[in-house]
Amino acid sequence: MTGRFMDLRPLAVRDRVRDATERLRIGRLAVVAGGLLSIAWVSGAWRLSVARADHQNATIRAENVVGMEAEVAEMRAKLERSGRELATWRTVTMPFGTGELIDSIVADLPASATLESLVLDAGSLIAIPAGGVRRGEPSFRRVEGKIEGFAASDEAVAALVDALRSRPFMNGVRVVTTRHRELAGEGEVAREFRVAFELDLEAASPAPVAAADSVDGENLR
Amino acid sequence: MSPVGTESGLVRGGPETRRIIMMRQIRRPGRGTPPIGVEIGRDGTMLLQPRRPGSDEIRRAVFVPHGESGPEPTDLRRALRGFAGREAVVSPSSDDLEVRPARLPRLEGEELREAARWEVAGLLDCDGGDLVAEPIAVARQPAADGRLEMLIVAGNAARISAHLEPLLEAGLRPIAVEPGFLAVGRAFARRSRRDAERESVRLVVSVGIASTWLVVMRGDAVVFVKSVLVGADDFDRELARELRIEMEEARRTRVDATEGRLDGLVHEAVRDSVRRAARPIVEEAAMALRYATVAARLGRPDAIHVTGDAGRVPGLSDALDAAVPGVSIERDLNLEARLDGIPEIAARGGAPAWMTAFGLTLRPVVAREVAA
Repeated sequence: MTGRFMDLRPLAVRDRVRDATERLRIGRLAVVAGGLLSIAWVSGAWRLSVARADHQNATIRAENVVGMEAEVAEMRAKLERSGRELATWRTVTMPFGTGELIDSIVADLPASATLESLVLDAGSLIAIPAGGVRRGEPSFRRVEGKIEGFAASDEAVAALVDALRSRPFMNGVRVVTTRHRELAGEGEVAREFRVAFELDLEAASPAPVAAADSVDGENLR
Repeated sequence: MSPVGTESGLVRGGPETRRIIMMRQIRRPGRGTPPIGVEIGRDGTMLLQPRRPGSDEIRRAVFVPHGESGPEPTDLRRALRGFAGREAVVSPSSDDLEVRPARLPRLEGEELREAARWEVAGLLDCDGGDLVAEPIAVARQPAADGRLEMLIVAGNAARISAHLEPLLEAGLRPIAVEPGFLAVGRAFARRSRRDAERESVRLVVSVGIASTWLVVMRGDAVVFVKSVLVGADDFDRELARELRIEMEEARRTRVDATEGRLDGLVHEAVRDSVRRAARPIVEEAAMALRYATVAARLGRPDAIHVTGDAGRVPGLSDALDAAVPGVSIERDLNLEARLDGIPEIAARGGAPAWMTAFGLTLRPVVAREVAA
């Protein structure tokens, strides 16, 4: 009507073109939707594969952790069992050798004294002190022992007792008995002594003390 | 603007084109895919598509020869390779369209179309249901009886559908069917987009094989159109009678004269024959311009454009120039050079013969959307 453009298409042609245009539009939309779905599927598949790989790695790591935790638990159980066995062993054994103890006592012997016997009461290792352990007082493992021998005089015996009392691992050093004794066939007399003591097993081992005291022992001799 | 005498050589010219002025293109190409211009002719169908909407850079141009039955879908499908998109603006043969003057009441839109359809059905003495029709308002103001003077372009729906069927089968989607004169007018009105040029009046003479369209335009709108039943065949017939040769030889002679391959007496004979045969065209052109100047009060025409299959034939511009003195005959040399640069176009009548197909591709996008 304006003289610029007109359209002489019959109605049927207009309908066909409109339908074709609509089909084309739907087809394009379908292609775009298909493309987007393909991209989404590829992206999803890729992410799924990554997630699966992560899950697999996590599973392996979790299995390793569980295995290690089981090993730790087993080792802890072994350690506890060993600790219990060690504690039990410690209750029935002395932490040092008898030879070291003898060396240590001999080092304290005066020159005129002779040691004849050393008796250690193993039963005292597990014995509870009479009256039990008082609350607040530290309990310590101990071994009761006694030595017998003879010396030239009571002064020598006293010197031995003093020397033993100075040892940190010896508690309750006391003279049980002293008495006169004639040495057979020699016509000489001596003072026979019996000294009781307790060895404090929680204290230092007698071995280094013996080494340190060796000089003093030499002096006493 | 430069006179034709100083042409660049891209376009052949002769004495008859002495006042041809080069146009300059002011319309900028748009974006998107332009429609394919499809002009259905008597002996073949022309398909043309520019690279961008509004551009004169041609993407592809193909001529599909066929007989009276129209193009074969397979040939069209093959020819469509290389075109972008499948939307087409189609121009049927001018034989399929009728233009009738009528006075219609002031209506709008579909009501006006319906009124025009039934009005032209009465004028052509046929059933309105068989017709498609579009009105063109000729006068700006209604007459004393309240009716507007209009031209009604009408065609038989069944015949147009028959023409469109091969195109549809080939995969084309015709978004509009327009008469050729509208397209060829649009091709020359490309520069009439500015406000200062909206009122410029021009006459487009499109010389076809069997008939000629005379289109008066104001700005980029057609305000008057008339068909004259004189065309290139009549030029050939007159030339054959003048030189006493066969019609086919006369056609070849006319083409040779158009393309500057003849001179001397034969060239003069062609020019004289064309002048004689084109007398009805010239007279109707003068009447059309007189109508535009006096009856429609459009003012003095600014230019005449001669195009079509025989638009460059020697003698035609001279005859028009003599009949309408003082109105310059202009050619769009840039556009013609662009079109002639395509081998298919150069081999099939040159740029003037393809101007309708090119004008079809310039159909406004908004109008295309409305029409769809």
